[in-house]
Amino acid sequence: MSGSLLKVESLTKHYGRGTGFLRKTEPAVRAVEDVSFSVEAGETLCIVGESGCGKSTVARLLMRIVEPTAGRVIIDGVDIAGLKSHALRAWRRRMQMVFQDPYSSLNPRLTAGQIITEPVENFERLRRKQSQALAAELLRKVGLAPDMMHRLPSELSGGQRQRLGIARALALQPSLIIADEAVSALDVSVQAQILNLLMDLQQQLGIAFVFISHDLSVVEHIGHRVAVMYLGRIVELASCEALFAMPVHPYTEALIAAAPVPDPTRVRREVPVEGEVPSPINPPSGCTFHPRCPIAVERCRIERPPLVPMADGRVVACHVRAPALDIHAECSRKDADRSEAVNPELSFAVGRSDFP
Amino acid sequence: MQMQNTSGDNVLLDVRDLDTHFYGEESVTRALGGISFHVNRGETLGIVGESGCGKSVTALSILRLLPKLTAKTVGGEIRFHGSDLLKLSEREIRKIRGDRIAMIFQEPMTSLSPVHTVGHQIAEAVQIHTKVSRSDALERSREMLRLVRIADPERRLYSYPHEMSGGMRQRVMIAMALACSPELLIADEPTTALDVTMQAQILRLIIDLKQRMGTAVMFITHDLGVVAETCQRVIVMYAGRIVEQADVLDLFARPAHPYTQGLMRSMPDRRHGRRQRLPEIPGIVPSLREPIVGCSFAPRCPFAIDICREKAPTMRDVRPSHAAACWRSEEVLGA
Ligand SMILES: Nc1ncnc2c1ncn2[C@@H]1O[C@H](COP(=O)(O)OP(=O)(O)O)[C@@H](O)[C@H]1O
Ligand code: SF4
Ligand SMILES: [Mg+2]
Repeated sequence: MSGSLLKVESLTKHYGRGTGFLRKTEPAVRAVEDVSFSVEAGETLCIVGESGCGKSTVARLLMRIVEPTAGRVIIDGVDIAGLKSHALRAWRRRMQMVFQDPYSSLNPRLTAGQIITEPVENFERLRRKQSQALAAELLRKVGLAPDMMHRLPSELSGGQRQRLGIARALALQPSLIIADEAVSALDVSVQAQILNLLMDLQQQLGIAFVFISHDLSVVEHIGHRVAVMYLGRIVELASCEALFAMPVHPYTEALIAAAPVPDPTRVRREVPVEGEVPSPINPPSGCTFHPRCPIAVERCRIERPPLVPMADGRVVACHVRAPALDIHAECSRKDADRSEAVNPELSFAVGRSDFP
Repeated sequence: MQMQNTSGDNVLLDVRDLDTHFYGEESVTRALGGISFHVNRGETLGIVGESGCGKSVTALSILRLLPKLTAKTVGGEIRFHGSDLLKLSEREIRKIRGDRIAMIFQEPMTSLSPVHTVGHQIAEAVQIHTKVSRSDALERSREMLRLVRIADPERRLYSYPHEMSGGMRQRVMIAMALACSPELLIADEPTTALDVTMQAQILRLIIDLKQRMGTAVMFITHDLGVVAETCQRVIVMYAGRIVEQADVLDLFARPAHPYTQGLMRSMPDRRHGRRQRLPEIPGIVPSLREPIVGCSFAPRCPFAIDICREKAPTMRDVRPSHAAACWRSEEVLGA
């Protein structure tokens, strides 16, 4: 478990509760609540969920763009949540981010070459020749012609701009790239090009990805493991194979059933869940999914379900599908001991304080 | 389903050689390069293609909602109940808009007023087109909100759009669009901005209401999954032209245009095997600011031969009720 590249422990972010006199009375937006996961070197961990579930906040917390309310972000054994800006700079090199909208995230006045070498120039001065060589190399890595370095972002297509964003993220040779809806704004044919690029880079450079997306077919295609979030919390975390073969949490089930499938011969199924995601300002009691859940029981309204490890190594927070009975916990604990090396989530879930 | 010939009784809207241009400072964008298609009564016709291919411009051209100063439909005909919509006066087209042909957009706020209650706005839409009393119009609003399954419709009549979620606003838009029982509903990416579980609910709602009211729907989307789940017939657009047209089952089973085939193959899908490279369509879409010689897909097409670069292919039947604009459809079908 100490081998994890990134470990996130009980990460929590509440917005809108300032220190000011009036702001104290404002309710907090519970954007992220007690989120824990790990990322191994060279793997792709996906985070899925609908808008407002906290995916992007997790990304911003990992990058320390925002400060956590509580919890730890550990890279290579060091908790970066506690680091001051100077020490943080060095750790930041290890993690880079790629955004959804390549246009608004690139400085329109810089050339492609300047954009992608800028992160390096922030750390060391490059001679003109060095910087051009670096730009050419990075452009080639992402499948762009080196002579593109003289172009402005406005002179590039959407797909080319996203490649540029990826080249920029690669400049500091990070071991982890956080991609927040990085292919969501792209047309399918361009999306395929970018997904291929990300998979190639992972294979060649061993880069790990935290891949945040609302698109389940993309996640199923490129992910190793996937965390499903609902109202700020992880409700299920499993290997991609297991999750898509058999979703356990009713919300995961609903998400998969709701995604349109490009096959007109498929029998139309019923709408999986009605209503909409409640406000994170005043989330429902107990299991926050209970008002929309088709299988909810009395207990769901009262008590929050803990993340419980299942026999196949996934963790699920659901009273009905993953009841946290003591006997169940015992079994899982044994399983967990055996499989700790392959499945870090198991041991973390068992070690949690709210686990009986 | 039976192929309708364009003069048949079943045809509700018949578009021929529609040509729409945008005028910039130094250039002209030929957004639509002469497209022809029709919509049958009561059917759901999908229009699919990637961004910028002309889907929205097609819809806006039909309803004559293009920006007056920069855009112009320079050629073609849009036949609807015996008249050409392009030849109607501003007053006449306004009578058709919202009454016989209604439209909903991706972002409902663009067509909802922020300063009026939802009930008021739906009633207003009813009163523009029908001579009914205010109280009857309000009653109709109430009925429509119920029909689009808005929770607590009595209270929602008095809500403002900003007090509603995106999904609820889209329901209001649908209520408003259907309040006058139009014969044709043009829906331009109505679920693209919504989350998947809300999208599933809205798609179901549109299908249900369409069946109940007998409205034809022109469903514009970039998402082949949405097309497969909602449409009966489909038009595929590329760079301002229609490249393929077929029944939905036929289109997915036997795409006859290399672009359609490429689109379907490049989607992440279980068939590819997890973490395998996806088949790409190489290159990028052509600029519509320069004249396109030959087939607009030729620079990216794995099937392209000399004639493709010289002469634009026209739509021709590859099977009954299945047409494609490709010189090599037979080979494409065999591939
Ligand atoms: N208001 C406008 N001014 C100038 N060009 C436009 C305008 N609206 C659309 N276009 C151009 O017309 C073409 C078709 O656009 P559109 O119909 O919006 O595509 P789609 O809806 O398929 O994404 C594109 O090249 C686009 O850039
Ligand atoms: S006409 Fe030629 S270039 Fe165009 S799609 Fe067919 S084969 Fe390809
Ligand atoms: Mg559009």
